[in-house]
Amino acid sequence: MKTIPGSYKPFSTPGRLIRLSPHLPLQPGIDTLRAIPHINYLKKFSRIQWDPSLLGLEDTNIGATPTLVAAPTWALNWLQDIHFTRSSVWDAPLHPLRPWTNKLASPPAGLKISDTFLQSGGFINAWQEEGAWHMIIGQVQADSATSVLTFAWLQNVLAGGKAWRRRELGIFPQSLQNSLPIIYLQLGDKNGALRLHSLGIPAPIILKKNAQLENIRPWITSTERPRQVLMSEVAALYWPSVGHSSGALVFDGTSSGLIWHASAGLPTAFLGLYPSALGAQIDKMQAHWATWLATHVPGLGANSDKLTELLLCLREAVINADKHGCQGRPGKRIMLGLQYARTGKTLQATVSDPGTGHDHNLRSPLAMQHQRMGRHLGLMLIHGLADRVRFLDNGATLQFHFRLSSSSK
Amino acid sequence: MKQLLGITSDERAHTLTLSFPSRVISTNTDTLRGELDAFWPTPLAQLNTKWEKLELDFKLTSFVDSIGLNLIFDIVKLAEDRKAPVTAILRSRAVRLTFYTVRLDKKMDIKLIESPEPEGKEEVE
Repeated sequence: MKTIPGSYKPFSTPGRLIRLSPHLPLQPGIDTLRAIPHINYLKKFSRIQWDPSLLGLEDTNIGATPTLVAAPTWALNWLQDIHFTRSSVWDAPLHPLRPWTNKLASPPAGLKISDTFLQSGGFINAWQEEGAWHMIIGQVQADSATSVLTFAWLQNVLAGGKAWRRRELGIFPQSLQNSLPIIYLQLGDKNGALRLHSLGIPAPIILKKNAQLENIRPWITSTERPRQVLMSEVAALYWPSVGHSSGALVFDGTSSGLIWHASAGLPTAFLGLYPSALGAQIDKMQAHWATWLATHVPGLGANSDKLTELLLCLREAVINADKHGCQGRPGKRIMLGLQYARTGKTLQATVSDPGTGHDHNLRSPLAMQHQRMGRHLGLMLIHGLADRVRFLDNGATLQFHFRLSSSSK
Repeated sequence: MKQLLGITSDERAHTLTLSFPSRVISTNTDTLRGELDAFWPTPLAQLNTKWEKLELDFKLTSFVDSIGLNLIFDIVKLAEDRKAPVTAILRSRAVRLTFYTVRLDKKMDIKLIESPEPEGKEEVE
């Protein structure tokens, strides 16, 4: 593979750099990537080379605040061999998030690019490094509106569900509207420009220091608070009540997905993000939930019956989310949140999928007929074992509660 | 690979006993079904084609999910077609609650043995 001399030495060894967005091509001859603060991180990926189809493109700037985004393989495993040829003819529908309709090349099936995002000066580079995909997302103008769109698009891409994207953006608290609890977080204050950040890297990115949360990765470039992170701004899809508390949020990367758990000082909570098409992974996930529940929820470790009931409900909810919300196909993800409230001794579980919902009426004649035949028993189990069950988002989100102060039924 | 489903036949008592592993779940029910399907044409099955009672041994079982319940319902249906009563023997209260929640108690006699669970081995699949 031909390499561009001079500027791109860090990427001169085999690999592939694939550019998803032709709108802002990189400028040969200008070492723009070296100006990026996270270049040291990129240098670790030596097996990268330029795709020759990217050569000969016009100059432009990368942007003031490019951001490194590293995604785990499972999230990007469908981004394969995507080539775009640059075109100055831009058939740009006015409505954002319509499928890209460049006249000279067709996007790969399933890939949708926000025209608003592209026209605002965003670009995305993705490359494959020893089987894992990595992406760089950058913007010429990192204003909050663009950032939201950037990650709305990314979220859409990763989730494969437009409905989910809209729903999640819509229910975020105002202060968290620019947070993306799907692998990538935006950190910064709620009013100013936001910087983008990846949690796909298997190492802590936020640590407690001097009673404050600080980011420890050099590519965080919040101008107003270079290092401080407010807990309220961290992914809190399931922790809307978390205020300015301190603690440590660490990344626990597994091959099954991304899991965050909060340590002392924060509400006992667990947020899991799992790839769809679970297969046998569900057993590993369940073992992980069992360990976490027994460890972090008081009294549950000693009450194996209640723990079994909980695990059964979680398993059923997640399998349903995979089977129905994700149609069992890869490329999507399922979110699981657990939160234990010490007052009331209640555990709340929330399982969300990118589907459009379903008719969850257990009392319908068809549902009852199925139950008598021993079919579709998952929801029946959850209703029977949990103390309270409710559906949100037309059934795409299931939430149930267990009171843990009483003994098993 | 070790058999997951234990199948024994008592000719004198005309009882067929199915002994289940520690988990009857989505990731092993296909194997269990396969083992059951493989059993029917065997000489042992032919010897006791007149089993009149079905006993489901869940003494080692601590976890059953909805896919596992599908299998159990199908097995119970087999017995119902032969008009054979079904008895399930359990040690786990959680499993018993699972069965009651889906009203399996309407289809079989569920007996809970109140004794410490044996140190069962996790089957390697």
